[in-house]
Order: sequence, then C-alpha cells, then structure tokens
Amino acid sequence: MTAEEEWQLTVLFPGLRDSAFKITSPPDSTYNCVAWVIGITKEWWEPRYREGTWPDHIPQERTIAATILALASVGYEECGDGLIEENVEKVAIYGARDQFLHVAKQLPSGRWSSKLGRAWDIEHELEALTSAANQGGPVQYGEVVAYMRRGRRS
Amino acid sequence: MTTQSAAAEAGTAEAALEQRFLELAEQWHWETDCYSMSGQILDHPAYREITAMGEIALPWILRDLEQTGGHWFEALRTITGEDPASEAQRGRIDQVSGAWLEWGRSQDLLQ
Repeated sequence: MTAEEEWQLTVLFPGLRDSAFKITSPPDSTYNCVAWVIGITKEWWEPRYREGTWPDHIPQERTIAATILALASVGYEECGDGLIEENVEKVAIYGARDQFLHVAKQLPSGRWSSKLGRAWDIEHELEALTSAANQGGPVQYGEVVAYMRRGRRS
Repeated sequence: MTTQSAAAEAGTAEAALEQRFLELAEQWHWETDCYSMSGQILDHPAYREITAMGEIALPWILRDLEQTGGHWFEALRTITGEDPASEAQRGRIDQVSGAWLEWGRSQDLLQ
C-alpha cells in the first residue's frame, strides 16, 4: 500500500484512520462486493444493471431483502452475529433503510475483507466502514443490518 | 471572422470542454469508485453532465474507459443509441468494455 493510497482511503473512509487496515489487491472495475463475497472475481453482481448479472429467480431489486435471497442462493443462511466460528464463513451486509449498499466477508482471522466498488480489496475492521464511523465522508455504506453464514470453502 | 480564426475558436471551445470533462470525470471517480451499486455510480451529477455533453465527449469517455475501467456504458448507450455488448456478456465487465472499445476503434473515436 502506497502512502498515496493510504491517504486516499482515509479520506474516502475517515473511519479507517483509527483502525488497522490494508489493501489486499489493486483497483479492479470488473467485479464488485457481492461477487467478492461469493468468491467470484470476474463478474459484476447487481440487479437491474444492464451490464451486471443477478440470479433470475431473485427479485431484481437493490434491497437488503433481495441481497439476502441472492446470497442464500449460493449457500448462505442468515445468522445473528459476526462472531468468528471455526470452518464458517460469515458475511456482513451494510445498508440504510431497505437499501443494500455493501457486503463484507469474514476472514479466518476474524477480520473482514471488502471489495470497495470498482476500487481496491481491503482487509479491515467491520465497524470502520459504517456510516457511523464515516460521518462527513464521501462514501456512505450505512450500518451493518444483517449477517449470514455458510461452511468455509477452500 | 476568417475561416482560420473560426477554426481556432472552435478548437479553444473544444479544449475547454475537454478540460471540463476531465474535472467531472475525476470528481465522478473520486465520489463513486467505492460504490458497488449503479444507483450511486450512474445517478451522479458529474456523470449526468458528461452524458449531456453528447457526441463530442465520446473519445474522452472511451479513453477513460480504456484507462480506468470506468462504467461508462449507460452514457455510451445514451449518446450513441448503440450497444455493442451481447446479452451473453452480461456480468462480464471486461468483455463489455472490450466490445465498446472495439466499437470506438471502428468509429475512429479511439486509437
């Protein structure tokens, strides 16, 4: 991570300033956060986006409810928290009101991994990307509104 | 006004418009590159202003697409009325981008 990238990230997400984070891959506009938590790095998963893909049988809505259904279609089930569990992969869904805004996946270490839109992948603390931690920042993901889990895959 | 001075004035106007494009594109990238949903990406004032520039912006848009991978597809479709990407390429941004860049070269809008 260059000093320039670190500066950019902490301006975009002031909540990262007081927490440990690192960039784990360079910007890539070909996949987004939903694809990332599923384990796909060659597709853009988004409903109602002509250039994106989304499961046919899931409502074509950018809502938290539709995102939960989409993630359930690849093996996730809702759970109550983001506490680390052995051999379990969890995701945390961020949103505001009923609008889906971001999703992060838990690493075996208990920290979290996010694909930031068309930009970098980063490793971070869950709370560091919430709107509560980023008041006044240009990017707002809302708050963590749901957790899901599935068996960890290699 | 002579033909030569009219051409110079037109060139100056185009250069000013290109500078405006660069400012708007930088703002758009800065404020939207970290979003994963096109609602935030495409419904941005800078993106809408660039789209409203029309055909003159096509070479600049295609250049940005080539250099940064910006999701300019909706603006390109709106301005040109074309869509060179196929249904089978949905989700594959690399392939959609490639189709648009190939289209741009076929139209002499991109080197």
